[in-house]
Amino acid sequence: MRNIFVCDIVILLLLTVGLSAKEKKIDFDKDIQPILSDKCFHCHGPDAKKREAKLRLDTFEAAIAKRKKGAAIIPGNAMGSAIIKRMITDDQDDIMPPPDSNRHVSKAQIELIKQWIKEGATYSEHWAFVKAKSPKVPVDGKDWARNPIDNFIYKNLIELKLKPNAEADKRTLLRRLSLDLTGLPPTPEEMAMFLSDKDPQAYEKQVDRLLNSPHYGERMAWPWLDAARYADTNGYQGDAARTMWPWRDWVVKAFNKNMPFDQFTIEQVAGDMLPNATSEQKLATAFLRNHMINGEGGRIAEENRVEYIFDQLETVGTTFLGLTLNCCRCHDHKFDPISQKDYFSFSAFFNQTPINGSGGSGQTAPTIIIPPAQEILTKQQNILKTKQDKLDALTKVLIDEFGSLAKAKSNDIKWALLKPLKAFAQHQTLVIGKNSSILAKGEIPNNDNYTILAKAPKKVSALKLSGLRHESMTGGGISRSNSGNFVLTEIKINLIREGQRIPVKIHEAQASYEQTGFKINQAFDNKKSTGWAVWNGKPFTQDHHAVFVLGKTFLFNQGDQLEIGLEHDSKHARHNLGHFSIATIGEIPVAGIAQLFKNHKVKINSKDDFLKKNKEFQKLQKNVQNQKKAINALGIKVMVMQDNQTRKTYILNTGLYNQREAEVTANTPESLFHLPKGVKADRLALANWLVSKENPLTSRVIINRFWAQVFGIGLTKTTENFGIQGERPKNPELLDWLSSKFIDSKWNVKDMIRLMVTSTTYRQSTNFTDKKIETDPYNRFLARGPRYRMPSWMIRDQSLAASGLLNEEMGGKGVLPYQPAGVWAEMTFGKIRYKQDNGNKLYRRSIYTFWRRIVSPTMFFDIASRQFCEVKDKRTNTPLHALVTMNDTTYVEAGRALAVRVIGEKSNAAKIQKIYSLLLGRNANEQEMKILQNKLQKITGKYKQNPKLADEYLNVGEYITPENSNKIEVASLANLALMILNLDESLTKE
Amino acid sequence: MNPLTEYQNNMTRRQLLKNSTNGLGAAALTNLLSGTANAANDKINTPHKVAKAKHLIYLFHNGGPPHIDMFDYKPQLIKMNGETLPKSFVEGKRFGAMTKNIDAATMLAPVEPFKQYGQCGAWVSDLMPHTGAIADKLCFIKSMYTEQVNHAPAISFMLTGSEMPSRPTLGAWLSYGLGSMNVNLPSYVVMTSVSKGTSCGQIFYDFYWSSGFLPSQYQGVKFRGGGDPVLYLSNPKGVSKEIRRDMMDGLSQLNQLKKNRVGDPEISTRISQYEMAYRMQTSIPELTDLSDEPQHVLEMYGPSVKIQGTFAYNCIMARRLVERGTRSVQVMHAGWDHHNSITTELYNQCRDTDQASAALVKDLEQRGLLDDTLVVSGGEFGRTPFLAKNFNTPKKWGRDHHPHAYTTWMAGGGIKPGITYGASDELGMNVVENPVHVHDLQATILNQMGIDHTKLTYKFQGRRFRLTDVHGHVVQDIIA
Repeated sequence: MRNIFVCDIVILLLLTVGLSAKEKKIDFDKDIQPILSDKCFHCHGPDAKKREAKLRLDTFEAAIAKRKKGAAIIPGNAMGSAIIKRMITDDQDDIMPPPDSNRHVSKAQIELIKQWIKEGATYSEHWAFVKAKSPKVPVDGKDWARNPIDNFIYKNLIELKLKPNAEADKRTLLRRLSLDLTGLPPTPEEMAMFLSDKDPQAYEKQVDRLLNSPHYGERMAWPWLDAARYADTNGYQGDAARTMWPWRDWVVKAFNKNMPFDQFTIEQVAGDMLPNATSEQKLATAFLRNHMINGEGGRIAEENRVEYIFDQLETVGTTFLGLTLNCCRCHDHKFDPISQKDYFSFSAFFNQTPINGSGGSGQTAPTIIIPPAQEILTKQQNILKTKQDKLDALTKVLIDEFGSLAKAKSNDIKWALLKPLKAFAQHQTLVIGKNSSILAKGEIPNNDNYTILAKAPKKVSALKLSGLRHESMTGGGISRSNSGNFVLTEIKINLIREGQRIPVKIHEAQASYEQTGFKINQAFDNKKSTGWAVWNGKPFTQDHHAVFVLGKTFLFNQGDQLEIGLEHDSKHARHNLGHFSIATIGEIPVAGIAQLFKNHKVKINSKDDFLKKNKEFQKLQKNVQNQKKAINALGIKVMVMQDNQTRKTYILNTGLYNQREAEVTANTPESLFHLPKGVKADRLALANWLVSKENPLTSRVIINRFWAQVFGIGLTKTTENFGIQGERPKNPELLDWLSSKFIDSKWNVKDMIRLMVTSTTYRQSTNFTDKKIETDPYNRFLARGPRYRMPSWMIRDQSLAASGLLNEEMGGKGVLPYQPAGVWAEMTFGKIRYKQDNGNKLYRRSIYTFWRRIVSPTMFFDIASRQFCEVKDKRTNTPLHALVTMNDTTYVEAGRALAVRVIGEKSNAAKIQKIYSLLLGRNANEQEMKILQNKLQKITGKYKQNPKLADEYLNVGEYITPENSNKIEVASLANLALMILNLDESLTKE
Repeated sequence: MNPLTEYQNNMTRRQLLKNSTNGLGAAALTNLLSGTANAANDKINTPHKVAKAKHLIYLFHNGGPPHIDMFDYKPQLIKMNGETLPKSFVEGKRFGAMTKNIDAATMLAPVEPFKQYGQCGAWVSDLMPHTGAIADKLCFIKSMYTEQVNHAPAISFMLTGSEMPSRPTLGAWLSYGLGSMNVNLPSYVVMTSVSKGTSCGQIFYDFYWSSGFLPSQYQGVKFRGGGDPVLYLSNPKGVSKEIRRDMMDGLSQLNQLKKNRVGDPEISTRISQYEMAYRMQTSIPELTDLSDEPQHVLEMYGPSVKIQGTFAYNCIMARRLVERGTRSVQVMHAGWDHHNSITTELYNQCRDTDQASAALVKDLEQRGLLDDTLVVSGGEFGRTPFLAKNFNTPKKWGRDHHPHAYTTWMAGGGIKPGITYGASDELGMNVVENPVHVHDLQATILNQMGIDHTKLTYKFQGRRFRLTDVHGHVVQDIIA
């Protein structure tokens, strides 16, 4: 019962706030819809499939419709309305909501509904789905207000009987402002300048300075990266790396140059489809491609593809529209008027890319190549030039050489015909002709082997076998086979010297022509089954030659004889050479074996071949190629959008890729406003629709998130849900006024942020009073300034900045700062290891930290998972966070650097004050100083007892303590600085 | 004033207001009202029913352990070894993309013989002799089935009730619903291991212990397999405990001054959270110091019990955590993905998990903890009774993903011991008796922890979410 009791208190509280003006009628959208939606719509709402008893309560017509047991709602007659009867009955079977539904309507809520029915049960549309009208600025708080935000806020405070806080002191204010606008604390110099500036516009001057700081873009980008699920890896099995960081830099730049938010939206959703899209505009669409990629072996490509589209549309739905479209994957929305058909019609906008869902590459097409920074490119191009020059020089030398060789040697090629002494075959008769050619006659056996014996010439380097056409051969060819073709299965060369037979080895060979599968090399491979043949499917129009280069140049003696064996053992019948001659040559031309064919007009050794044979040339050429590849790889491949398909889109039953139902076409949800008539329904139309003046959601959703960024919590705290189940804004008029203003300002983001931070509301002190805690524990009505623990990335950046370690370099590839050893390896079975960066890269701003999706950077806490779109800050308070900021090397080292930074101050007190001013922008007060001095003394005493400990402490992190410093002093002060870094005040923006 | 007490008071009031507007589940709210973390008394309010178990140890085997090789004994499969898969068993069924050419698949008998164990006569493979030996303490569910065919979605489905990544996991729901019983230790701990030489280990994504949309303090705390069990637990080098104490005192005093000045109750919470961090720096090393374990207990867990990052080490650590009040421990062992290693790596997997799993059950029982502790052991799906590769190359034998029937066992926590529930067909292919869906198992686990699975909800994006989505039935027949 306890929880019910508590709920009632809250409702009553809300009632007193909401209904303080007695005449006020009950507002359906504000007071009734939230109850009906939460308690009834699940079964009696827009989802037609799950509707119980065919009763629908989300529209007036349906609710008053006649029913057997009476209409659910009878306007003016609360007790007669079935809905009330069923809520107050004692009958456990009849009572609504059913006890097992885990929903309960409190008495106070029933009273509200009764009152509403009495007043006529007027329905109205959900506030967020109706275009915001710029409300009149209240006159309240004239003396207090600096701009209309304050009037709206003040009006609420009057109703709550709360008085706003006074303005925060200047020091607090500048720290708050610097952290909010840049994520970095003010330097002591900036603080001094502000304090001494007596100009009434001194504060506004600081606002402008900070809005123009390049760090502003970095600060604004972080929540956008969370929404866009930006990461440097794919997620899932393998978690391959990707190179999307040029997009991250695009976002930072866009905020810095104050790109109007409508343009910011259009370029990210459909920059590729703009007329004459620039590469920057195409790059912007990487926003949609930041989704996870599943490269798991068992995945079905189409299933992946569909998942990616879901992710894209849901990201757009949450980021810009604040809609929980994901609810409609499987069924009509339970609360909002969005159907499953709407969901899939929306998906059609994203369904026209060439992405097919296969593969696990983090650079899956379509991609765009972003050129590297000019200095990197120039350096690499210079290296290429050196390498290319070397290659060119050698090429020139070689070409000259080739030219002279070719010229000198080509005329010298003189084959000497071998004059056979004897020629015989196993089966046929071989007749030696006048020109030393040999002709086969007689029977035609299937296979035959020849032996030719001749006097050995003095010098032989190569031997040429010429198959000569003859009229007695088939078709005037070279053999008496069915085609005139032959298969020489083996050629054997022997030297006959003093009765001894000495085999002569063939080193290589070339032929004028090789039939497929019958290469010349197969004629001396010692295999009877393979051989050389020359059939090209046509009648013979030329003789054929084979040149066999011997292993060395032979010098023969007088009386030596050459014995040449020609074997025809193939399975092809009668494929025996029928007419042929043999010639020899003493020396092979330098230009190579092909040169031997010169007078036969076949393959001529080209210049290129000649070059390729040179090993030095090969090496240099490879160097050049590798360098070119390296330069190409410098271009960064970023996945972007591109529409080049005309895919049909279907409703998928329960979102399953292979369960297609009705076909749908691209469209925006029907219950919101329509795309303009005559516009082609594509992604560009969608982008324009998102930022159309008619769109009730985008401006509200975005401005609400900026508000949350500055004030810690949105005007509606459900930043992710503007639907009926979302929280009704605490100050709806203010939200509407801001969102109209945003559009009127031509979507000027800096102007809107300026408006917020220059308001009196923002400038209040954060002091709590019991009354304020009691009335407004979460500071939703802003009777005091915002006070919140900073995001973990900001805490880290602040520590780096205050310690002087911060490296302000912007953009580029993600960096790998300190992280405990083995975290990646353990998660991936050693497949992926963390290679921590060194030096300056350790101190880059957090936004440049490499983000591995399956194991987020460990130095951050309460962060978005970056696995899907998230638009809400987490802000918990656990011991694990304390362990990070007390023990992570980043913080320990920052404490040490901070200590070294102040060590030159004269006294301990002065040192401590300097740390306070660097980090907190203020001096420690007397009480604090006493504690700080006392702890420093105690810690120093302990290090004095054990100086080795101090040595160890100075070695945590890469930062080098100056050699001449007193180690015990530095170690002690460094511990104190770490303590100050961990103060609630340090962790908090206030 | 004791900062802890004040912390609880502050927490209670703040959370109460917050929760009442947030519309948190009744379970969480009731507990917050009664004080979540109170080591001194044992009053954990369970709103729905009497809890049979206070703790959960989930021995999760990532990759899909082959039910037919381990627990689901099928003589018919042995007879049909090498024969073509009868089509009627697989028609219209969905398998993973790695299962190719299903028409030509051949049946593969279990790689080792089975024996009957205990009074219950359960059949268990010779691969799992230690588990066999405690069969009388176990409840085998042989009719598990799931909707997912790939690892990450199937594991998410098992642990969160949804195949989408980053929904709240079982352990997070339990912490959220029931709170912690020890302020010095996390209430939801996760430990992971993998057998040496495993060729295809399934990556441990951090969303396997995510708190999802629940507040992030309910996220599982991952104890690491090497170095500090909790990230950043140790003091930096050069900082003694005494020096750290000085720092903590200074922090506390200065933060208190700030609290007095500004009045933000969050500062009190911060003070107590820092103190708890400091205490964890002592309590966790004490937890992981095995020197107080008797030799015979260590031996029971097997030879690798003292090696951080092994399954055996994680098992004994699970017992020590439960003993100290941790609500749920998720011990994950990867590498059960035997597409081509059923005759090789399966043996290592069983060797590395069988003995320690059995030891954990016996150890809990000997200490009287088994009644309070529910032990669940199983994977995200089973493996196909047919072969993934060529029948002629036994060294490359393997089985593919099989979502249609698999085995999970439970012990303790008010579950009937020595029984088998449900059955698959004669080939281990499809469930034919008492099917248990993933959501049914989840409902049953919550039931044993004293939670009605339909009532533990959290409102997110306007909808009340449950671990079991809108499904799930408690399997009454296995409850003692």
